[in-house]
Amino acid sequence: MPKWLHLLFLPHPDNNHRASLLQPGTLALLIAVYLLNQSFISSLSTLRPGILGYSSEITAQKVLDLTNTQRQKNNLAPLVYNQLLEQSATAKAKDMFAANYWAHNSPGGKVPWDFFNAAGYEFTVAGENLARDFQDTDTMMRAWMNSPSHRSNIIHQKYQEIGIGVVNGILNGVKTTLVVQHFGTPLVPLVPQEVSTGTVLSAAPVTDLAPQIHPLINPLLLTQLVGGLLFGLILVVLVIDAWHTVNKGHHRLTGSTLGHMGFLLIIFLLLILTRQGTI
Amino acid sequence: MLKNLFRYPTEFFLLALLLGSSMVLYFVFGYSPQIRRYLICLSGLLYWGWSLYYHWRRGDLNLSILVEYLVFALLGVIVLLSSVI
Repeated sequence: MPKWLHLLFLPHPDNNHRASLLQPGTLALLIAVYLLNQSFISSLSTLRPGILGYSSEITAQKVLDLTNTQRQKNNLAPLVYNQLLEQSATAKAKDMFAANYWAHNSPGGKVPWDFFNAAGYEFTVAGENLARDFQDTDTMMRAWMNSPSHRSNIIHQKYQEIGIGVVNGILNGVKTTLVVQHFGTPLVPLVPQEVSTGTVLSAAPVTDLAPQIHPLINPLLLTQLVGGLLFGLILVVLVIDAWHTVNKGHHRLTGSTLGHMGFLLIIFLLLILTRQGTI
Repeated sequence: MLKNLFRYPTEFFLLALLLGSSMVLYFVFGYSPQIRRYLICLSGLLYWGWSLYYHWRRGDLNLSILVEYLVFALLGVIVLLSSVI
């Protein structure tokens, strides 16, 4: 093994019996490199959106498919896609970006039904599900199904129709994707023919209030991967350092290896267990 | 390493309590990225604060050790903050 590698990862008299990777100077350098890498990811997301981007892979079609899959699992009829409900859902998402809020009721006093009415959708029963910050539809659907109130909307037996708004934009200064599901049952009941053929739809496009982005690589996952690898490496070197110290009995004036391991282990766990999205 | 654990059990219990509580609160406030960011910063600060107390009790508190803890805490906070949307 080259000596510089040995000094970087293993205790040695030349590095004062402490792996260079664990010394403050090297760690400060790692922080600088990490920040540089994050700036690079961020810049690439903006300058070359085809490679990296903030927008999620969620589309209205995928949301509809998964919603109806859940309904079929519960022996319920699939929901029919309705363009008026799509308009109201998209309008709600745009309103949240415009007024910078994240709630069913807007700070200006608008309630979900106002969007249904504005789109011209007359209903007997209606409901709304919201989600933000999710990168993929499966994770978002799992989060909804794990929440009793959202789940009850998805598998509500009285709903016949659905419209979905997927809008990218900036909320509270953070680039994100908002997903709005509007459920309803029309005042004029659907005729059986409509119900049976209604699941075919022209998928609603993702609306971008910010520039259009179709990322190949998810920047959040890339960030978590780089961070996870970095912590994994430091943890391994700390374990080697602890083993070496115990065996060789070297006394050094350094921080507690056990303390560092505990702290980094918690951060590592939080990093890999951090779930995306809010509902 | 384990020798220190048995010699200073209260200090290490305190650290486990601080880190464990931070982890629990992190998941409790999973619905709010803003609160999560505050918690991450607070955890880093508490870890650094713990190092002051621990090394003061050991009697080997000095600048190089404080810088080492500061850098570890900063690294943890920066990496975790960047993963919270």
